[in-house]
Amino acid sequence: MKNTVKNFLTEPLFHFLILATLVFGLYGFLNTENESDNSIVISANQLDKISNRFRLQWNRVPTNQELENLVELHVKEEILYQEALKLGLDENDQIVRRRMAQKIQFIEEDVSKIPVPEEEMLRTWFNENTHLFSTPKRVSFKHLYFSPDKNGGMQKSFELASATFEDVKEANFETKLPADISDQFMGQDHFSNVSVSYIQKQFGSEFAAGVAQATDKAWTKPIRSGFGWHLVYIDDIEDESLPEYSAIKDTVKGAWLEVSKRTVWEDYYNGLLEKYTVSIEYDENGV
Amino acid sequence: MTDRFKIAKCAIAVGLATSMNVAAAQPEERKALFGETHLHTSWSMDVFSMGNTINGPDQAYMYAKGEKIKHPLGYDIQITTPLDFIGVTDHSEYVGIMVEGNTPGSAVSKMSDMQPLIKRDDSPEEATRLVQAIFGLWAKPPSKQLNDPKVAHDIWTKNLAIADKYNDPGTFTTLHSYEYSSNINNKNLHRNIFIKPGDKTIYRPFSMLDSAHPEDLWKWMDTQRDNGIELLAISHNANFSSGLMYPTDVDSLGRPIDAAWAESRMRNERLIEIKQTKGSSEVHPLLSPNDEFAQFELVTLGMIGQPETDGKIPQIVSSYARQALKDGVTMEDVKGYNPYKFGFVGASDTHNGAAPYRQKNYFGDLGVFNGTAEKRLEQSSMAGFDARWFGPAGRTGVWAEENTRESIFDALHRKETFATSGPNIKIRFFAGWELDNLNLDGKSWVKEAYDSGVSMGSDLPNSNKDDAPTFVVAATKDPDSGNLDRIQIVKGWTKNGQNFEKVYDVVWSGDRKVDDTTDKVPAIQNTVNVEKATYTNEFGSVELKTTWTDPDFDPNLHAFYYARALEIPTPRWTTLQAVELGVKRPGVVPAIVQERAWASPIWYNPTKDKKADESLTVAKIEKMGGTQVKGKDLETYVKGKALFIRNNVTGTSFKIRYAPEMNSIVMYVGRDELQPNLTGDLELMEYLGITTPYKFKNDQVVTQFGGKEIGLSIYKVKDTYYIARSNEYGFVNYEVLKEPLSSFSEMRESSL
Repeated sequence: MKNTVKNFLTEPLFHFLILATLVFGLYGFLNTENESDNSIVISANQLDKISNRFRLQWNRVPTNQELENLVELHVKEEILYQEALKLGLDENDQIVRRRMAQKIQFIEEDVSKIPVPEEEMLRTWFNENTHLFSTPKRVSFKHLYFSPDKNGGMQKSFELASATFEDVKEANFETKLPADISDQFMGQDHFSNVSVSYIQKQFGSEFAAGVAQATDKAWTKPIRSGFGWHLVYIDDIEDESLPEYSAIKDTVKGAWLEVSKRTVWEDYYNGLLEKYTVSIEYDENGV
Repeated sequence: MTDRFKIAKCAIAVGLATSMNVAAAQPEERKALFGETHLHTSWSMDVFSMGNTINGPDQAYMYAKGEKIKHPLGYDIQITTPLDFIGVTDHSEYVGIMVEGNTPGSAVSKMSDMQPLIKRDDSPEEATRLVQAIFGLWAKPPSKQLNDPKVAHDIWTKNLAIADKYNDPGTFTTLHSYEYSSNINNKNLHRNIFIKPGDKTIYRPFSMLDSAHPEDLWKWMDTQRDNGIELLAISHNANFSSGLMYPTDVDSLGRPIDAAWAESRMRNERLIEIKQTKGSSEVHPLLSPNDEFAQFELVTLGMIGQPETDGKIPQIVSSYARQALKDGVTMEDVKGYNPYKFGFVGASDTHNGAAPYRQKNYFGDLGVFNGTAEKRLEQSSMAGFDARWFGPAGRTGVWAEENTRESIFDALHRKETFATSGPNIKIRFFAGWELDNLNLDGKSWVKEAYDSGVSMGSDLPNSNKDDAPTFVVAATKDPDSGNLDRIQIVKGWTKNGQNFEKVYDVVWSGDRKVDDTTDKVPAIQNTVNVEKATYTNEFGSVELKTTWTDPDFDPNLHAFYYARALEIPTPRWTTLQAVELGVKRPGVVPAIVQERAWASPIWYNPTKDKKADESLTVAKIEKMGGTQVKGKDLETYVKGKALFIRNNVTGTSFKIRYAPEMNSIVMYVGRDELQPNLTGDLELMEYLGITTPYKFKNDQVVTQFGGKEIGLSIYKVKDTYYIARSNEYGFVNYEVLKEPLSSFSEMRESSL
């Protein structure tokens, strides 16, 4: 018999009953003035939450006294919250605004809303976004350098480069050119399989653009870099290439998830934005 | 839509990256790689207050690789030349707390220590208040509420995961790093910590909350190293340290500096950041009056978190790298240890997650503070700073075999590094005893220089010859920036507790001749049109290189050498943006700049040592039966008198007038005379009649220089008076002349 009582005392149902009585008592107390507007209902679910929060913090269930105190605190907060709402204290409160905006973002950003992608869908997405998976254009080239330092300025080195172009335009990649046909370059004379952005880092934007437009297996007319003038022989151009879908299936899936994570929220927001008309009223000074 | 896909592209690059073929590369195959070693994202505590809540580590890596991202104020920003590598260095102090604590309802937001850190609105005034509140919090003992090791560990782990995602060996390297942000009485002692990626990493960053004393940071680093984790520190903003960055007598705990301290510092602090958005820390014109290029991007009056109404003025002495290098060789000579044998890097310290590296692309570095041109050009304070002083980020250059974590970390560790003020100027510096026959026209000289010499960041090996060593220096311009004006070699050396410096022009563009009156190469033709904010590359060189032998080499003296390459003059961002806005160019900063690159130093340590024979010390004076002149006798000897004095180390003589009104002035000093450190621009001071107050304190005649007190102790040996300066390590280097120098000057009548 004793055990039964003890068990009963630890039963959640018992707690619930006690609390329900307590809460109803409170209702009764609180609702004496204005019964219709001022009702606070504390559901079994909420009670569970209050109790659970305590358990997480202290690693045990609350005693009845403790639970009563917690409920009392909760009720107090609820009442003050209701009163604050009536007074409109939530309006124009930066913290409340930010919190509410954050909350909706949390809800809508939820990654678990992203469905597991179907094979077919991934393949279509891959085909629509091939630029994400392609290897950029790569160039192999050698160049002859005409230094403004050694030839008396940019104009003179350009003239020299132009004249030299006439001498080399028939030559191919293998043709052995005399060493003194151009000036010693401070970096490499020969680059293999480099991207346009790599060329930009080494020679500057203008030269990179020039090389990107040049044709295969031929000498270019003089191209300017930050260092002077160059004649460039393009030995090989490897155009942008795309691996087979099957070879990079996992990468595609990863990329799709990455994009989806970011778009799910943005799409939601853009949808909302469409529903609003935003107008900004500048003052007469345009500020 | 395109923005989103770019995001994805970054993430998948990793998946496609193939592992590098790591063959043992030869040193001559090392190439210059450019990177960022100091950058904050929204994860840093102070960044939140500056309005950057959008750019985290992901955005920082994308930006570094060349992707367009958003400035915190909403407009697009893009790097002009993408980086080869980057270390994101968020402040480790309370990392992540601002985001968490400013989330209403979170546990952190309810903590009492958090309350002053909750952002109330988006105004710049509120941002200033928050920055001060943050630095105020950092200055106080750590908040137990806000400093949770588990939180720090989780954030560190997340940080590494993002870095690893963007690391692409051979193409783009991300390093593992964070900032230790110690601040003692608004004096900056910040360091960036780089942890070599490997099997093991630190549990969590050691932050200022663990200790504000760098000595404790080094101890922690030593412990990590003992556990098999290699790491190094890079100090920065010595210019804001008010003398705490490079002390010579006591450490940050007030203990005398000793060999153990110096070794601990050098084991851990391999490098210093010499230039960033908040100014340069190489040199100050007051410390180096003969360096006509010393006035470069100075932010002298910096004290981080100093309240607007506070009156403190930071100390210039011991706050700049060149002086530290000089003090270092003196300490090596006198005490046998050198705590200041560092290499150079440059970086941004941006708080936007993205930095501008060029004047023409300058978009500020501190979120809402200087995010618009209008705001930047205003006379306004930004947490104690004038935004017009700030400028584009510096860059770190390393000579590394390949663009990988291993290779770059090793280059940083062996100090084969250089700094630039922003452009991708490449500079290379070697020294050796047999480099004088090197042919710089060929391509093989680099291999020969490595084979028979040492590269930047190293010590010259001992030589049994008394010949001067040969230096090789080569610089190449940034192809998207200005041409090169000249390369200089800066030498510092020491004798009898004094140290000296000289800047040599070693190679320059055009056919300019050394000016006989100044011994310097004249300024290059300036092509800047300030009304239009334009320049041309009509003058200057694309490449400069030379071998150079020190004409003043003394095999008995400790010395260091570093190289500095200068670009031609180009318009500063203030000029560019004033023209763009059609407003007046601010006069508080120069209209033009000469961008530059600094190559890490090379040190010379003599094997023979003759100094003991010539020098006079306090101990020797006492042995000779000499006594110190004290109290009333000292006042009588000095006050209202003029003393003729000879510096026995340099042989230079001069006069000091000590006025009864307690002002003093040094006279008869020419600019061409060699002066020891901490004497300032004596020629100019005399010419303009600028006096320095003096006082009697602890039996010394005390004056103040660059915020530091320097005392003179006077000794009498028989009828000769000697003077010791308090910053010359116990040497008595000055002698009072018995006769005046010039026949027409007043006689000194005093005698004891």
